[in-house]
Amino acid sequence: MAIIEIENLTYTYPVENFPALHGVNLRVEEGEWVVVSGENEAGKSTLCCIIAGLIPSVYRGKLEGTVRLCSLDVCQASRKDLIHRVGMVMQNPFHQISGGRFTVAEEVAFGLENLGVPRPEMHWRVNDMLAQVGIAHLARCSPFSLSGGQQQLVALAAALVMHPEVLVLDEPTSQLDPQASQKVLAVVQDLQKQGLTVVLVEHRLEWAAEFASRLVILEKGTICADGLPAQVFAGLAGRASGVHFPAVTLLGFQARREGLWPAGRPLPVTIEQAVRGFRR
Amino acid sequence: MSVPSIWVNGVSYRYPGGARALKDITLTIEPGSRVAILGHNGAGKTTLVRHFNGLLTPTQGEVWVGDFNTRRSAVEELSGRVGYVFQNPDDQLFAKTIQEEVAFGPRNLGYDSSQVKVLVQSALELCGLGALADRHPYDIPWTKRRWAAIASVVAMDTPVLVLDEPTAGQDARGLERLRHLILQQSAQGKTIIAISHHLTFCAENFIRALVLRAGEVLFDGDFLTAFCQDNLFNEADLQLPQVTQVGLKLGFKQPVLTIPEFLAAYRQYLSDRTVISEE
Amino acid sequence: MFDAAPGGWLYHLNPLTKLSVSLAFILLAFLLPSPLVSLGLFCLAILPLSLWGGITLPMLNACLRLVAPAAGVLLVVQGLFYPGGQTAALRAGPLVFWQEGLAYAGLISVRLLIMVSAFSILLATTPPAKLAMALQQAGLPATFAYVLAAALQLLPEARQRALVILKAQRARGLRVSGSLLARARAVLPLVVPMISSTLVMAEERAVALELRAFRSGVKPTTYYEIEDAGVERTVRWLCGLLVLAAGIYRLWL
Repeated sequence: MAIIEIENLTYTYPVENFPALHGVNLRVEEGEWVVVSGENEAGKSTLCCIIAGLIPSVYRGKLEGTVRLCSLDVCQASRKDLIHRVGMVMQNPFHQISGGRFTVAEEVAFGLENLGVPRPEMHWRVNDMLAQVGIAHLARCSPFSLSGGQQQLVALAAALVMHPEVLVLDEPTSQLDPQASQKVLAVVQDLQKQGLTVVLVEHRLEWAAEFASRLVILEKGTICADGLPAQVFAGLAGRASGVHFPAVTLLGFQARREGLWPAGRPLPVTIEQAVRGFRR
Repeated sequence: MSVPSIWVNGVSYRYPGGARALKDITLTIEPGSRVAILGHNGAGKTTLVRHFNGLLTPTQGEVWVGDFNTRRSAVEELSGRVGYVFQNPDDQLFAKTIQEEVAFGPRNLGYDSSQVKVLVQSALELCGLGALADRHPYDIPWTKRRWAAIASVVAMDTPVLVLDEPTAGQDARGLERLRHLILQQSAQGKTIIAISHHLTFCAENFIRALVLRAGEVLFDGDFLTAFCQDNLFNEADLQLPQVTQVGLKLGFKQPVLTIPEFLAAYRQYLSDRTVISEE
Repeated sequence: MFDAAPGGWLYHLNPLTKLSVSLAFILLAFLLPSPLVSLGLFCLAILPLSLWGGITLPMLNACLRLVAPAAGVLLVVQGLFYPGGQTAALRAGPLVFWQEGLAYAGLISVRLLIMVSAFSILLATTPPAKLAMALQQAGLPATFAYVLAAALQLLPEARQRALVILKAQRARGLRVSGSLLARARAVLPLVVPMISSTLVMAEERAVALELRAFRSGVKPTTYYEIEDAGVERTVRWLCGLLVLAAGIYRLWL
C-alpha cells in the first residue's frame, strides 16, 4: 500500500496570494527512494513540509485536496501521531541543533525525551542509532564543537531515532563538502535497504540519480515529470527546466546527437552506465 | 582601472584559539586571472581569501595587494580593490530595498551618485534582480538573497572579486547566470577568485586551480595539469568531474574536462580501436 | 567567558550543589556587614576551593577584569562624594578622600569580589545545559529549562555571528571607526543583519523542535540522571542553615 498518498493538492501559505503547490498528485510506495528536484522556488521545500506532516498543523495556510501519510489524513491526525511516522532533516545543520543539550547523545535523545520514553529504552535506541550513523565516538562531545558534516549526521540520527517510516531530506548536503555529503547519503542508503521510505530533495543529481528509484521534477508548483531517472532526463532533455542534469547524462545526450550513442539505448545516469555504454 | 597583483609571501596563520590554519604559503595571483580555490572543508580556503582584503592579517609573512601591504592598510581601504562576497547573505543584508542594499558598497567607496546609479543598475541586471529592485531583501527567497549579496559586491566594481562558495545551492539556471557573471567580469580584465566544491563548474570556468589541504598548497597550476596528476584529487578529498572520470575509465590518453573534448577524444578512441581490430 | 571543560572533581558535582554553595557565599557576604567576613570567605573558602578544583587562574582572571575596574571607580567616587563623609583620610590639593566613603567602597568591592568569584567557580565547572537539566530534575518545567540552556549555549554563537557580520560589512567599505557620525552610520548595517539572521535561525529552529516533539504535552523524561550523592544533599542543607543563621543574626542580634 502507498505510504504517501497526495491527491490533487493545492496549498497556499498564509498571507500569500499564489499557491506554492497546485494540482499535485504523488503516490509513494513503501521502501521507495524518491528524489525531488527542480529549479529554486519550484515548491520543493513546501512539498517536504507537506510530506513531513508540518502542513497544516505547524504552517497554517490553505490546503485543498487530500494528503495521507502512513494512512493518516494530515488534516485530522495529531502532531504526536505524525512525529512517530515521518522524520525530516533540513538544509542547515546548525539550525537543527536544539541548543538545549550538552552532549551529542542527549541531543539525539531530545525527541525521545519529549515523548516521555523511559530512560533504559532511550539509552539503547540512542546508542544503536549513533552506531548506525557512525558517530558513536562523538557521543560525549558537545554538538557545538562539531563540523557541519558531523552536525548533519547528528541531525540525521536525531530524526531516525524516532523510528520513522518515512524520512524526508530537504537538500541535506547543500552546505557540506563532497566527502561529508557522501557519508550522509551512504547512511540513508543503508537504512533504505532495510525498508525505510526516503524522499530526498537535491539539486546535484550527479549524486542523487545513482540512488534514486524514482525522480520527480517540480516546476512552478506542479509536478512536470515523474519516473525512472533515465526516462525523466530523456523527456526533459533540451528543455530549460532548471534541473541540474548529471554531467554523464548531458554527455550521453550530446553523444546521441552526434551519432556516438545509439538512439535506442537509454541515456546514462551514472558513471558506470556511461562507461559501459561507450565501451560497446 | 589598474588591476593589482596579489602577492602572498611565506604566510602562516594561527587562529587566536591556537589552531594553525595556514602553513607557509607563497603564491602570486596575476592581474586578470581566474583562480578556483579547492579543498576539503577546513583546508584553509576561507582563511586564505580573507587575507586578500585584510580581514585577516598573517601571523607570519606578508600579503601585498598591488602596493598595499595588508598589515599596514585598513580593510576599508582595501575594500575598493578587493570585493569579497561572503557565503551567507543573511550576514550582510540590512537595507529596506534590494536597490539600496546594492548601492551601499559603491557609496562607501565614494563614487558619485550618477556613477552609483549606473553601477547598481548593471549589477542588478547581471544578477537577475532587475525586477526585484524595490523589494525588501527578506521578502524574497534565500537563493535570491544570495544573488543580492553577490550584486552588492559586484556593484563596487573592484578590480579583484572574491566569491566564497558561490555554487552552493544553485540550480541549473543559477549556475548558468554565475558562469555568465564570471566571464563578463573577467572580460573586463578583473581578477576572479572563487572557493567552490563544484569541480565541474570550476574546471569549465576557471583556468588556475589552487588545491589546499590542511593549510598547505597541495597543487597550484592549470586545471589540465591538475587532472593529469593521478592522486591529487584523492589526496584532497575531491571528486573528479564525471566526464573526466568516464574518460579515465575508458583509458583516454589525455584527461578531458568538457563534453566536446570528451567526444573528440572518443572519436579518436573509436578509430584507434578499429585500427587495432583490423590489424 | 568560560568553557566548562570536562575533568576535575568540581565538574562532576551536581550543579545544584555548586549553585547552592555559590549563592550561600554571596548571601553571607551581603548579610554579614563586615568586609572582613567577606574577605575571610574569599581567602579561606573560595580561593582554596578553586585551587582544589584547578580553576584558580580563570577565576582570578574574571575577578581582575570585572571587579578591579569597578572597585577603582567606587573608591574614587565614594571616597570623594560619600554623603556622610566626616573623617578625611587623604588630601590631594583641593580634593578630599573621606574615610567613611573609602570604607563603604571597600565593602561593596569585596562583596562584588565574592559574587564574581563564586559564580565563576560555578560557570567554569558547569556546562549551562547541565545546570538547566539539574534544575529540571529538581522540578523546574522542562520548557523553562530548555530556554535557559539554549539561551546560554547560543550566546557564544551569536557573538561569532556578530564578528562575521562586522567582517562582511567592512569588506563592503563600511567604516566602523572615526567620527561620531561615521560610527552612528555604522549601527544599522551591523544591527539589522544580526536581528534578521537571528529571526531566520529562530524560525528554522522552531520547526526543528516541532519535529522532535518539543512541548508535545507529555511529561518529558531525561536522558541522563544527574547524580546526587547524599553528601551533596547534606552540603546543600548546610548552606541553607548557614544562610538562615546569618539572616537571624542580621535581624535580631
